[in-house]
Amino acid sequence: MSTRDSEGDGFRAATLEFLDSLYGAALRLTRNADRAQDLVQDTYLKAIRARRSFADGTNLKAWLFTILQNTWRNRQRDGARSRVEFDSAVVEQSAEAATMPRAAHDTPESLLLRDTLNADLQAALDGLGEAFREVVWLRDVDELTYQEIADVLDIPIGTVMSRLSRGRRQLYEALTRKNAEG
Amino acid sequence: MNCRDVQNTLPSYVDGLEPSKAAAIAAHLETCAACRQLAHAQSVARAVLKARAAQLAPMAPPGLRTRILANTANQAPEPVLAWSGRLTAFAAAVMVVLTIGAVLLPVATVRSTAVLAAQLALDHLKCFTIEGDADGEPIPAAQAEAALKQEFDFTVTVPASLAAEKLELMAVRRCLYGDGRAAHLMYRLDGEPVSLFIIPGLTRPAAELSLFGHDQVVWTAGERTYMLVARAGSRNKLGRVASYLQNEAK
Repeated sequence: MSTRDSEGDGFRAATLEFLDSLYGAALRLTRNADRAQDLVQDTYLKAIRARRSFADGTNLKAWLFTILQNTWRNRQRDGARSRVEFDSAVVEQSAEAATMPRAAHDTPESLLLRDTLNADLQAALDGLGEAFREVVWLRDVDELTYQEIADVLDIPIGTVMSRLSRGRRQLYEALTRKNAEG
Repeated sequence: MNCRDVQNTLPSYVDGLEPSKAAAIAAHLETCAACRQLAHAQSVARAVLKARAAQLAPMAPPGLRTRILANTANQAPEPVLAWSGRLTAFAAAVMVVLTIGAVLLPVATVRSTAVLAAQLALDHLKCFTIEGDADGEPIPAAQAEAALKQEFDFTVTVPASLAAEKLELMAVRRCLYGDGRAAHLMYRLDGEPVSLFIIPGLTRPAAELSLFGHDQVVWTAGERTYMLVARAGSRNKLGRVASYLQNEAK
């Protein structure tokens, strides 16, 4: 009936506010513009159909990210595309080894903010490894809470904290290195 | 606090989420260069990302929005399946009655009216509570009549909202009962869900029932049985509304 349709339209309009963010997330996951668009379309279809499962007062953006992540995970599981799954524990260990704190002098925040090129920042992000990049991005760019990130990625909140910590550290070190090089 | 404690909470400290531990962490950072360096790295990485987020985030291609709008047009919502969380033992009881009712239904007795009442109480609950069909704005009676006519060729005079009784017409839909032949008019009475079911081709003696935590008023007119359902305790208000609806619904 028409009351229900207008409710659906309002919900859809609200979800479309996050189209760019979702497309960005899809691009980071698929690394391919066509597949990213496909993933985003699928996400929207599921979200619109499942709109009654959305709890009012909770974060719509986080809810959409969760659907996107689940859709992506299901696709991979269904073998739509062969891909080497990273082992969470191995990822954490290797990152630990790679980023032991160094006694190097601190690069002031203002210098990095001023001198870092977008391309360098992008390269530093790309160098992070998927598990770390996603947590850092969801927190520092998309401003999700730790609990929301845990829900979206289906990992414990402690893992969110440790990946965030190490991801940020790696990013900082990559930028500092780049900055020192010139 | 030792280095391990501090390092475990650094991200949330840097994000300003640890007010209770902030003083202790800050004191540790004063004396520990390694932790201080880590905290610095955390806050700089976050600051750089926040500052450059707009330039880094890709824009969705222009055609994508259009395709999503086309793909998702007229997608009916899936029902929420969280039954256990939203229904009580009441629903379980009704389910039992439904099963028994399927056996007893052909016999038109007082008991079968009770079975009918139980079935419709479930439908009442399902549409209001689980599916939220009546969560929107009130609708005009003409719109409800047109929908009934168009969707299942059912001609009925739908009683309109009545401000004096705080009665609002919210929605109409096809009812599960009787192979979908029955109409379900959904009202709110002073905010509370009230259903009027209209079942064609069925005659039941007039009755007032109280079953499963709900009050029911039943009457028959013109080869149709009408049943009004509301939560128990609203009998007085329901009685007034019943006479209004009896006069209006044809």
